[in-house]
Amino acid sequence: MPHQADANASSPRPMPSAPNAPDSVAGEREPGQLVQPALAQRNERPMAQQANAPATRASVPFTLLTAVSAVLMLVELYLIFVHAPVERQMGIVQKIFYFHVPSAYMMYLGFGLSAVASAVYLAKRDDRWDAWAVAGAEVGAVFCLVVLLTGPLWGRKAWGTYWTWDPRITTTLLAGMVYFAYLVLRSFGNTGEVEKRFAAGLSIFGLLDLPIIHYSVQRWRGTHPTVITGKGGGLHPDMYPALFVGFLLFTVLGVLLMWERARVERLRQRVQSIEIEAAERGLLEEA
Amino acid sequence: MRRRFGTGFSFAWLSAAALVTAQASVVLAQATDAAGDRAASFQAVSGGVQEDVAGGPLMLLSYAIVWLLVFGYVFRLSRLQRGVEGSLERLERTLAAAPRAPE
Repeated sequence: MPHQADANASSPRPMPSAPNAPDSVAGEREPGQLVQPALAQRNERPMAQQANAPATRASVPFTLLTAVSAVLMLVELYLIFVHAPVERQMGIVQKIFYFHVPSAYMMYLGFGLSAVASAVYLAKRDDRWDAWAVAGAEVGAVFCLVVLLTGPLWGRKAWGTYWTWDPRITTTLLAGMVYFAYLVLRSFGNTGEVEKRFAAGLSIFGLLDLPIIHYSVQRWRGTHPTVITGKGGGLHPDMYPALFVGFLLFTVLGVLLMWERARVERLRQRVQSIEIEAAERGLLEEA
Repeated sequence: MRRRFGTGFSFAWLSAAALVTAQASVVLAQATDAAGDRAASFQAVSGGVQEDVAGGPLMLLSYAIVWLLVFGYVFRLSRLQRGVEGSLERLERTLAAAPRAPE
């Protein structure tokens, strides 16, 4: 994926509005005359050029993290299939565990980021936080899907059934549904302020479910395994490296995906604001 | 003493024989009607079911899902980015073609 760091994306500047711009006397100029002079008076390049700015220092850690994740992926595959032993009772299907559990952890992280960023957005009304909320919800939803699809495949062998209404599985499904609703709400084209605020509330509501998922096994005695929690029986010592590297890999991967998604969302917000500005001045109708 | 033991033993033996006979007749009746019932209805099994599920295909399918979802999302991100860049280029062209206001 091409990566272009947007140095200006972190410091949003509102487009000059028509009533305040010195050269925007309504009815005296052609529709297309208003946007560029307003930018020129602010000593700025056109927005499109800003967004296509060459890569800055921000792309260096991104590229570095991408390389690190690729290396970690190879190490993880080695640890899973060569180093970690086959489990005595479940057999080879237990190796789903090494991707399933870190995916659940990234789901928590993504949904948690979305909820926190939504709360900050509601407090500050800063679109940067809205972009992070979208990024967290989307990446969290991807990993939630991983969890909800790989878990039943393990359950088919371990429990003899693909699905059971275990408390942890059910509450995970519930969290997935809340954040998928958030994404559906946000996917209705150019989202307005009201939709953003409503979606932010939905994301914060979804946060309430996350601790329930975590503690449901202990509180309600579900059938979901608890091998790595305090009450669990633990893992074979040779299984821990694959699990730890899995956590590290999915953390790096998730951060990369959220970072990129937030950046693209910031660009999309800027394009949207320019389009609205240009449409209000009749510029887009001529194109 | 021996007589009482013999009577009890006989009673137990007869009871067991009766139970086995009754059970056998039930099983025989079920076996006779099994083919016909199978076509007409689905019935719940009682007790545990022993199935030999191969773990290999399940594990492969699971890993395929992980890769598919992760790379599918990366692909979606790249498409989204291309779309945004396309919009920017379109806006750039529109702005460049628009007549400038007098200084």
